[in-house]
Order: sequence, then structure tokens, then C-alpha cells
Amino acid sequence: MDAIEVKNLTKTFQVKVKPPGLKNSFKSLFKPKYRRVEAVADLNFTVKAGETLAFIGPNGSGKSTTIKMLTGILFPTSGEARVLEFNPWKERKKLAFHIGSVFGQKSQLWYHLPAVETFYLFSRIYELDSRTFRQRLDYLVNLLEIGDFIHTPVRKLSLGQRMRAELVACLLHAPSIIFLDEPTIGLDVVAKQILREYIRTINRTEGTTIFITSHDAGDIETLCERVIILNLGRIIYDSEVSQLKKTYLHQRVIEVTLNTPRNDSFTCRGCTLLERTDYKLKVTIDTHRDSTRDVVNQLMSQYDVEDITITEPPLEEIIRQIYKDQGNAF
Amino acid sequence: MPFNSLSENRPGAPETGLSLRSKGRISRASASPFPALSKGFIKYWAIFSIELKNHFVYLADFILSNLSVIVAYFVSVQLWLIGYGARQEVAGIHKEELIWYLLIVQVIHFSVDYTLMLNIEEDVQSGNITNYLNKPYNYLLYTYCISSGRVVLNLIINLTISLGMTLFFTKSFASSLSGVLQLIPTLFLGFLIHFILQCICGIAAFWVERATVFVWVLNTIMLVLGGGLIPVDTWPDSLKPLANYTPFSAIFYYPAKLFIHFKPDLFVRFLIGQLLWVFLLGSSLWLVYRKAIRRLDINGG
Amino acid sequence: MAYVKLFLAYLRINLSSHLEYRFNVVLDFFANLIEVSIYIFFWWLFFEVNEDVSGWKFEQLVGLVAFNSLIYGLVDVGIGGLIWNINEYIREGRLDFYLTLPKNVLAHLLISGVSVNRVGRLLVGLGYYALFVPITFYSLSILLLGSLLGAAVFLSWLLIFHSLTFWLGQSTLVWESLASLLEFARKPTDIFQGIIRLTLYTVLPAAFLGTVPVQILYDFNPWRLLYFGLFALGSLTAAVWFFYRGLRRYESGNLMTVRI
Repeated sequence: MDAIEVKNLTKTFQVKVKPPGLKNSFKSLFKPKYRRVEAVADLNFTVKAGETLAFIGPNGSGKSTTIKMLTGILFPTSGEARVLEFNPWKERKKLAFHIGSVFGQKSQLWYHLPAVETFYLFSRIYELDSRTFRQRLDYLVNLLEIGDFIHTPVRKLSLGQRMRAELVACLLHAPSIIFLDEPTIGLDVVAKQILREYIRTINRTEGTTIFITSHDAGDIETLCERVIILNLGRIIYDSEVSQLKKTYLHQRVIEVTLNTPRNDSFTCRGCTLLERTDYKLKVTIDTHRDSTRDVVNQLMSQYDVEDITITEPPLEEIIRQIYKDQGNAF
Repeated sequence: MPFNSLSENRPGAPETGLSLRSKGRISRASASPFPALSKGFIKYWAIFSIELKNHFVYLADFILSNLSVIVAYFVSVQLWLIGYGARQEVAGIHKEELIWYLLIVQVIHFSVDYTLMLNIEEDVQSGNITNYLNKPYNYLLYTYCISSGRVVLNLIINLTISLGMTLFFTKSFASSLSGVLQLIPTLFLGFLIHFILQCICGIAAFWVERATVFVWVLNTIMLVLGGGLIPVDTWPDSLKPLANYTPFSAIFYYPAKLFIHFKPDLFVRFLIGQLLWVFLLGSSLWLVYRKAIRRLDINGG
Repeated sequence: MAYVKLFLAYLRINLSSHLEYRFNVVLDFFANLIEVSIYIFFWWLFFEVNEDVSGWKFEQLVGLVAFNSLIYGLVDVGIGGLIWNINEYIREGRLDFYLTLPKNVLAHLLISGVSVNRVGRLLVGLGYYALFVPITFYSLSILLLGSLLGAAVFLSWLLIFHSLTFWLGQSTLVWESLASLLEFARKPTDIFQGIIRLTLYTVLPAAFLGTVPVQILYDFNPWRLLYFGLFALGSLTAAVWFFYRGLRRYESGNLMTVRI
């Protein structure tokens, strides 16, 4: 069964336009002008049950809008969506029993109280009977290893601990799908790994479909089988993560700072020039094809190199690359 | 914020009225024999002006927020007119004079910055206050300037609105030139006293966790005991000491009474009274403030 | 029923949250005691100076203050800070939380505000009522009926004001309307005439937040009671309808702030 099915989903906002100045402020009170903003245009995709999907894109690409439509908070301008066979915006309450969400930047836990109090509240919201709640809570507390601090006020927890508690809160009612929005934001490297491991465990043991939005490439690499990239409200990439890695994550960006300036023509075997000024060179190489060492040797021998940096391209760079590859006119 | 800060006269920065004026003031100030004093004044004047300008950005919102002034004034005058009934005068205050008395008191009540106490408490408890303490100005003076900006703007708007309302009730002007002029010093001092009281309560947040619970209570007490709802002249004699020995009447009653019944000797008496309260309360505030700052190092919010 | 359980759960969690600051509940009670006493002091002083307030006696004005406190207190306990905050929830997108949960949005929102720690106001109102109104079966029934119906009117109208935020997107009008409503409620509506008086029985129903219960208490009039009841019912219906119309606008995402 498909967990999520989206067909031609479109969302256009009408934003009030208010030109500056006092006179215009008065005018806009009586005759407001609107501008249409196309947040999401003609989306089509399906998600299978039990899949872990990364839903990524630059800020303003329409990610949040799409998630809001899938959870029923927003209704679309046109198109259809079915989440677990429900129409999200028409059958929101029914759907709510089967989905859970965690927002990295907004907490659902009562700040001054121990997490267990929020869990109890959620058991009432989701209408779990006491026995089911107890069993489920014990199970999740074990699974996510939060037993040590469920009686500590949330404000005293570290971010990593809090995120695990948030996960428990969203899983109490055994939802079939969970939406995770920036779950690892603000976590240190180790805490990120730990949290990702827990999310994987959940997916394995419960078969929950996991829908993640993240700016963190590590999240995508570790957790997700599949990735959808959104840009300007449209899907520009929809495929396996392994594909993405094969194609894009084996690039390296080499940035060279020169001691003496050069502005003659650039020749270097096995690399592509990205940027260039008199004192700087930025090239990219594909480690599948070319050898980093070979390229570095060339650069070192050809130029008077002051400093050299070798990095993986950031996700934004990859996305921009993908965007260019698609040859879109918008 | 489209306005330059005073400390920068960046080349190429847009020439706003503020920067032009401040440039002029600065060059004059350095030539004056008391550069430190003038610089201080300029500093605080600038803070005051920026606060004033800030409100013009949300003018519509700001004007709307004064609409309850209309309601409150209307309700209180109407109540009193009913209360007077057939009588033309009570305890020496004529009907028309009462309407103007209520006007002044009303305007004061709605012009004062009631959120001040809450703001100070929030600054204290969030630890935000440390941001202000390491700037080259005094926190209290800074707060006073910001607060005054709001007060003056409120004053202008409330006065305008309430004046319009007054005409609805009476066509006569129950005051005199001296009555109007005395408003300037008495209002200034009255607001200052109110400001000091609010500060003391706000700073109490260092020791009492939730001083804000008492904000509304305090404000209501101030209003009633200050002659804001019922003129002190009409109080039974047994209660009058309550007005005389508390600072609240210096905020509301003094300006309003002088407005309708100006007498030179009364003016002097009231002015001295206000100055005494400013001195008394001001010193208390200073002591409390110093103590609080010392405690800040231990507590840290 | 599920909503009763939900209510109890919020009662528990909000109470725990506030019992962290037990001291404040006591403080809150005393603050209310002082404030309400000052209102009564005001009326007493006013009667020292004046003789007549449209035929109202001092005891009746105390009754007015008592009903004000009872009605405000009931709603305060019921929905707490939401009396003033709902517009912020709307503007800041905090309704999303309630939208993603399997409960009726308005009911959940209101229930989530329950604050037993604010019971001070209610208790003070009860106290003054007991002190100044002779206790009879009748006066107790009117106490109950008047407070409940008045609370229903107050709750409905504050909802209506807050729902304006769905279209206007700003809070000032909401607060001003609420403040005006409360301002008018504190005085007997008999002192007003003409169109103002009419307004206070209709679009800005301050009369029902104090005057009408006192009138019924001292002078039983079945028609007045009937009008009171019908008005309360009508207001509730209108408020719910209005809120959900606004919620549809919220769900279209076309509020003043774009939340992309």
C-alpha cells in the first residue's frame, strides 16, 4: 500500500502587498493589493509504506508548505493527495490518529515539567487506554533509552535528550507515518549519530514510514533510502539516495590560494573550473574518474600555491548542480 | 531601522534629519564649556527621539490602541453626571469643572507607561539587563528616555481624543491660562514620580519572582488613591490624609486640581510636594537599584 | 467521553506547571482580593459623595462587582491566559499544533488553557456575594445561573473579537474591544441612554456581564431571564461559527503573514 500519494498538488498564496509610506498604508487598509506567490506547483510523487524519505530543498522551496498540506493544516489550490488513504485536509482529525510529527525547532513537550507529563497528556489526546499507554510507554522508553530522565523537567535536558523524548511523544500512538522536520538541528556530531540510530531502529522495528526534512547531508545519507529535492515549488530530483551519492557525492571541491597572481589560461587534466580570480582557483573533480592526488600535484606544480583546501561540495551546491543539470528554464 | 545611530557618522550614510541635527549639536557641544553635560543630554535626547519615531512606523496601530480612552472617559463622565443628579456643584467642584478634572486625570492615566514594570521585570529575569549595563549609559536614564517617548506620544494622542470627547459633554472651558501652563511642570513631575514607582516595583523582581502579579493592583490603587476616579476634594475628611501622605495624588490630583482651580499658593505647595516625592522616591530607587546590580553578579537571572 | 478526559489531562498538566510556583497562586489570590476590594471601596466612596446612581443602591453595586468577578473568574479558570492570547496563537501559527492533533480545534484550544491557579478572582467574587447578598435558595440559583450565562456571553464575545484576527491580522483592535467591553461591564448600564444603552445589550454586551444578573436578582423578570438565556445561546453559536470561518481562512494560508 502506498503511504502517501500526491497528484498535481499546487498551492498558491495571495500575499498582501504594501508599498512603503504613510499614504500607502491607509490605501492598503481599504483597497489592498495582492500578489500571487506560487509556493508549490504540480507535485507528483508516491511514498511506499515503511519507506524513509528525505524531502529537501533550499529555504523557500515549498517543503513546509507541502508537509502542511500532507498533514492537513493547509488546503491546496488544486490537486489531490492521499495519506494513508485519507484526504488530509478533509479528514484531518481521522488522519491525525495515524500520524506523528517532530519539529526540530518547536518543542511539543511542556517546558517546565518532566516529559512523562506530556506523554500522559498525549495518551489522552490520542485516546489510548491506560494499559495500552503504559505498555507502549515502557516499550518506547526502553527502545529510545530515555528512562533516566523522563522524570526530569524538560528544561533541564540536553538537546539530544529532548529530541529523544520528542520522538517518544510522537510515537506513543503508534502512527504509521511520522514527519520529522529538522530533527538533528543543533545537535553535536555524536548526538546526531545517536539520534539517527534511534530513528533507524524505529523504522526497522515498527515499519513506520519516515518523512524527513533536513538541511543536513548526514541525515540523508544515514537515514534515507530515497530523496526528493524541491526547488521553487517543483520537484527537481526524485530517486534513491544511493543514486545521489553515486552521481554527486563523490565530488571534491579544491580551493587554491595563490602567492603570486596568475591570470593566464587555466589547464588542468581531470578537473572542472568553478571560479577564478587572480589569487584564487576553485575546481571540482569527480573522484570516480580522476585522482585527487593527481590533480593536486598538477596544481602544485603549475602554480605558486599558498594554501589548499579540499572539501566535499555542500548539499546546496549539489542541489544547484542538479538544478543546472535538469536544464530548467525557471 | 532607517535611522542612524548617534555614535556613527558614517561617510556615505543617508542624511536623515536626525543625523543632520546631531551633527550640528555635536559640533556646538564640543565648543561649549560643559561638553560632558551636553553630550549626555544629546545622548538621551537621541534615545528619546528614536523611540518617538519608532512609534510613527506603526501609527495606525498606535492610534487604535488609544480607543479605549474614549470608552473609559465616556463611562466615567457619564457616571458622574448621573451621580451629580440635580446638583450643580459638589465640594466646590462645578459640573463643568468636574468634566475637565476627569479629562486631565483620564489623560494622565492613559498616557503613563504601565508596561514599564513588566519590561523591567522581564529584563531582569531573562538576564537581558546585562546587555544594557555594559553600554555607555545609565540603565535607569535610558529606560526613562524610552518610556518618556511613549508617554509624550500617548499624551498628545489622548489629549486630542479626550478633548474631542469633552466637547460632547460641555461647551465651556473650565480653566484659565495659568491652569493650562501649570500642566507642564506638574505633569512632568507627576510622570516622573510614576516612573520611579514603576521602576522600584520592576526592580523588586530581583527578589520577588513574580512582581507582575501586582501590576494591575498597583495601578488600580494608584488611580483610586490618587484621586483619579473621585476627586480628593469630595472625600470625607477622615480619608483625606490617605491622599496627602501617599505619592499617588501627586500624579493625578495635583495637575487636575490646579487645572480647574488654579491658585498661586496652591501651585507652590503642590510643586514642593511633588519635588519632595521625587527626591524621596528617587533616592529609594537609587539605593534599590545599586543593591540589585550588586546582586546581579551573584544571581545572573 | 474523550473530551472530558482531555480536559482532566490539561487540568492536571497545567496545575503541575503552576504548582512549580505555588507561591504565585497565593499571591494571585491576594492581588485579586485587593483589586476587587478597591472596586468596592470606589463604590462606597462614590456613594459618600453622591446619592443616586440611577436608582441603584450600594448593595446592588457590590452585587455588580461580585458578578463581574464571578464571570471573569469563571472564564479565567476555564481558559486562562487565552482570554487575551488567542489572537497571538492565530498570528504566530500556533494553531498548527492543534490542527495536527485528533481533536476538535476550538474545543482543544480552549481546554488547553484551563488554569485552576487563577481561581482567586472567582473565590473573591463568591466571598463578596456571600457577604452582601442575603443567602436564599433564590439568590444562590441566580448566582449560579447569572455567572454561567454571563460567562457564556463573555467567552463567546471574546472569541468573536479574537476571530477578527483571522481577517485583520492585528491584535490591537481585539484588545481594545475586550478592554472596552470590560470597562462598560463595571458600571450599571442604567446610567446610559439611547443608542449606547442598546449597544450594551447587543453588539457590545457588557450589560450581561453584571447588570442583568443583578437586575434579575433583585427584581425577577422572566422575560429578562429568557432574553439573557437566548442571548447566551445565540452568542455561543455565533462565536463557534465565526471561529471556524476564520479557521478556514487560516488553512488557506492567506493570513497576513505568509508562512511558506
